[in-house]
Amino acid sequence: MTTVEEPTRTGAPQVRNLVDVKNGEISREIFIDEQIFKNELENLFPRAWLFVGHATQVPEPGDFFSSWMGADPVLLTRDDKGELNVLLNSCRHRGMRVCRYDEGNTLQFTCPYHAWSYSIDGSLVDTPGALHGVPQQKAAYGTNLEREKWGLVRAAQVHNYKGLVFANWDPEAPSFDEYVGDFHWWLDNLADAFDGTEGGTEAFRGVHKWRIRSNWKFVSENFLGDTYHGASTHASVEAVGIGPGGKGKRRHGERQNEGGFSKGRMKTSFRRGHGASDNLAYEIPYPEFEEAELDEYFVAAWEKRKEKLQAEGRLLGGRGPATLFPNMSFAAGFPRTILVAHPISPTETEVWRWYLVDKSAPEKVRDWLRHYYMRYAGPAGMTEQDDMENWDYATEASRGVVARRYPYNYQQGLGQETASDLDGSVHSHHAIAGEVNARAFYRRWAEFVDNLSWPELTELARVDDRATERDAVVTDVAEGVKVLDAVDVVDGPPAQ
Amino acid sequence: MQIKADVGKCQGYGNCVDLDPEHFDLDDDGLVVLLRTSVDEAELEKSGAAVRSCPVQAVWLADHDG
Repeated sequence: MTTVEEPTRTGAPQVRNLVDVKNGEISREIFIDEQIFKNELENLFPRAWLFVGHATQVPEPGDFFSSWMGADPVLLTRDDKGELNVLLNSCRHRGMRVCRYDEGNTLQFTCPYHAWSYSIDGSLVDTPGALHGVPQQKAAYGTNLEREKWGLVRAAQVHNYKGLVFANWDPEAPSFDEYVGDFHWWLDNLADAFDGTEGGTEAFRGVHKWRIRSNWKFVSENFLGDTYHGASTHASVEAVGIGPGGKGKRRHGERQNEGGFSKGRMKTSFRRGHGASDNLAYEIPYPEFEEAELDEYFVAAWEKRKEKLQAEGRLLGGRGPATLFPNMSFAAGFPRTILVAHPISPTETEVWRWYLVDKSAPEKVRDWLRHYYMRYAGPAGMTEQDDMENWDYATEASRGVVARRYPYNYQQGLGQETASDLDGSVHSHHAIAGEVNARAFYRRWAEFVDNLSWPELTELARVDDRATERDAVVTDVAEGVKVLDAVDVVDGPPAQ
Repeated sequence: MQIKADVGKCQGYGNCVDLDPEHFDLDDDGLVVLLRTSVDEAELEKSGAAVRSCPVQAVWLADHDG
């Protein structure tokens, strides 16, 4: 394996040499190497659409929430006109963070260092985030300071998708809708209420934040389609029974008598790098609950959603786990939560977890979900702990000199992708095994990190070449389904 | 209405002077000086904008007895 020594601004295909999608081999260097990490920060994160926060975290004018976009701290704010803004949290004078709180309410950010003051109040400044005043302006600058040039740096594009707020630093980047494509069905299921009400969810106050000694991509990869690790990694959690049904029931609470967790399940992989552990036709009703009040709420919600979606001609599946390229992972069922893997170093990641709940959910339901989410996810969550152990030790054991000479194996289901009706995507050949999603993720990742231009990136993703090559392997869809039936593991160990 | 000022808070941003030079000025140290404290009805909009523009709330409007 070669190493990358120079930034890839020239567009030389350097990290693409480390991601061999055809043979299913990916170099360990992409999880360890300092220079590759720098190239990610330079070429990927400032050009990708990144999840910043939830609109319900900043409901009122003057509300703000401190977040990160790649290597940069940002503020999600709501201005006095009710609009959302994403601003770089760094003073234009000496770079101090103008805001050091996690969240709060203010219409101005005054830098603690030299007190340059920025306003998000549109009645005081033309553009929210603009420079509003500097101490001793007259003595310091006379009339020479052009305040309009020295406002907080603004994200070039901000998009509120049903309460999910995304931003992009690059004015040339494609629109959010184009970037997401047909993957939006998974975002819909995340943002819509359990009864299908559009955008009917809100963030629980508070975001879990913690650090792991692992590369950020381990997290994205796990969510976007690693259904292979569940049976081994989460065996102990399944034995304990932390899910809706209680002891002896699975942690996602799926109803075994109505399909279980594997039957008919195929992963969905998008050429643009997004991936989901399931498909839209993979329909499993909400879990059974021990308590009647909870059971009634979710049964009613499922029926209402089913009726609504069927009237719209929509399928009922698509609840993940999934990853929106590059680092926003989520599950839109049980649990329903968003995870963003912020890159700190090649071998350190700061993980942020948001939890969503129906706006209309009664207190009992909220409280039950809160407990379930904490049992499941976050630094003390049992399922999360299992995963973190793997990623930390995988990182530690991969950074050695000899270890780095040997690539990871991504060969599951090579060349066996099946057709998908969704634009720019394919399905995996198997319910549990199948690394088609990971291969697509790293292929797209390498195209960004090698700094291909937007026209090149767009052209590469215009047609999913896997869908055309696949015809040579699986001659018709029916055959693919037959294969799936044969390998269903309805009563076997759980996946994902 | 009347304009009040806390010179101890002032950091010489000068926003108030830009917006309402009839009431506000800066001294040789760059700190706020009130040229006149009374604000009549016709001046309220201008003076109000001036005090709102102060990043450190060193100036404000109060009732005459406030």
